[in-house]
Amino acid sequence: MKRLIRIFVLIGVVVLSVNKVAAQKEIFLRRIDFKLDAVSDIDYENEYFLTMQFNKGENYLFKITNHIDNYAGEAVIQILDADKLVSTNVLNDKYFEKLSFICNKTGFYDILVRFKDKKVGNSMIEIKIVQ
Amino acid sequence: MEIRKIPLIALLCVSTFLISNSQDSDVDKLFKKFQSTNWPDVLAAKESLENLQNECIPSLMKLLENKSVKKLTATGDLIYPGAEKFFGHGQIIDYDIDKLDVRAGWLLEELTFQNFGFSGVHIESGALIDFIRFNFPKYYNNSRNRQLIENSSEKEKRDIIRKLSVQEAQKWWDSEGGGWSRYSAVISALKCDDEKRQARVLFYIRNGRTACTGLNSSSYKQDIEPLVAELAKSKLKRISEQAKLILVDTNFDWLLIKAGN
Repeated sequence: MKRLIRIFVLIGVVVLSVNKVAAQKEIFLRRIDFKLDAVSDIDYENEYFLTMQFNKGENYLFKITNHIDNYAGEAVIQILDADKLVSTNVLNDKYFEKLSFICNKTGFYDILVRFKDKKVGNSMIEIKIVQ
Repeated sequence: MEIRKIPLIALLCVSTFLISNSQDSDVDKLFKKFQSTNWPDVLAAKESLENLQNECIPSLMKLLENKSVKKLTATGDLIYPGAEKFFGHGQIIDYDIDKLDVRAGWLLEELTFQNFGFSGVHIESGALIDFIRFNFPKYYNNSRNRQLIENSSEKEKRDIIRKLSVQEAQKWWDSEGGGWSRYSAVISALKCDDEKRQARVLFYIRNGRTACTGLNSSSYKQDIEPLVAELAKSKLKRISEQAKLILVDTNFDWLLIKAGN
């Protein structure tokens, strides 16, 4: 009997967790297609720059797809509040293809995308809100 | 009657002398703080010096001759070439500000929106020659200098960039002849062809908190807005995106955050 109760409790926990995950909604905001065929001597030609308004308390998700058409570069995202880096997908030697950013101040943020190790690249980045 | 006025005049002279001396010592104190090793002190002093605008430039020019190194401490939230750890967040400073001459160059470039070359001192070794070639073409195009560069060690190349940047800054200050103002520097940077200077001045208009005498909503409308509108057409997104954001800010929020407004 005790064993049966334990199994039911376990099933209940699993069902609740699945529901919670399923309830998380991803709302598509923007897609960035960044292709760099040649590395330029002008630094700003090697980057993708855009500004977006983010709202306090929202969770933003950046999903990166690299190596489109076999281009070598891996996209490095920097989210900047003026001259302050607030989040990035590269931490020392670790590279992440997903970047989650929980905004704690409403305002305009600069998003800077470059290819790692100054390589050429072709990547797509989807920006979504997770609710 | 005349004799009675003498003590009054003397008092006036003494007080003027004392006031001017105490002002001098305030600037000296700021420069001392700016040269310290404690990052929060350096940052606070940098902002105060920037607010002094042209007043701080003569002392900054002297500091450009100081080759000593003051390794910064309390830099947990600072991303710069001297940082020992990267935490994935923090203020980004693209200058090797442990070196005092480069630190002075950083402030000078932020204040004047010029590009003397100080940010090239720390770049990766493989890019040093190209940096000299693009930023100091007159020096590089001399065959003797070119040979010297090619035979130099990495440290020597960095020292060449350091030396040339200081020379550029000194040449610029000599050519200004004391008539420099930050407001005219804003206009000059918006009009120039150097994308680094354009990006720096647009960043300042958008985010800068330090003072710029003469910059107000009517001077912006008259002198600056047409230049920003031109830059909004730039093919470089760092330039055009920033310019567009300034143009759409009809509340002048960027002006309200500046000292003196």
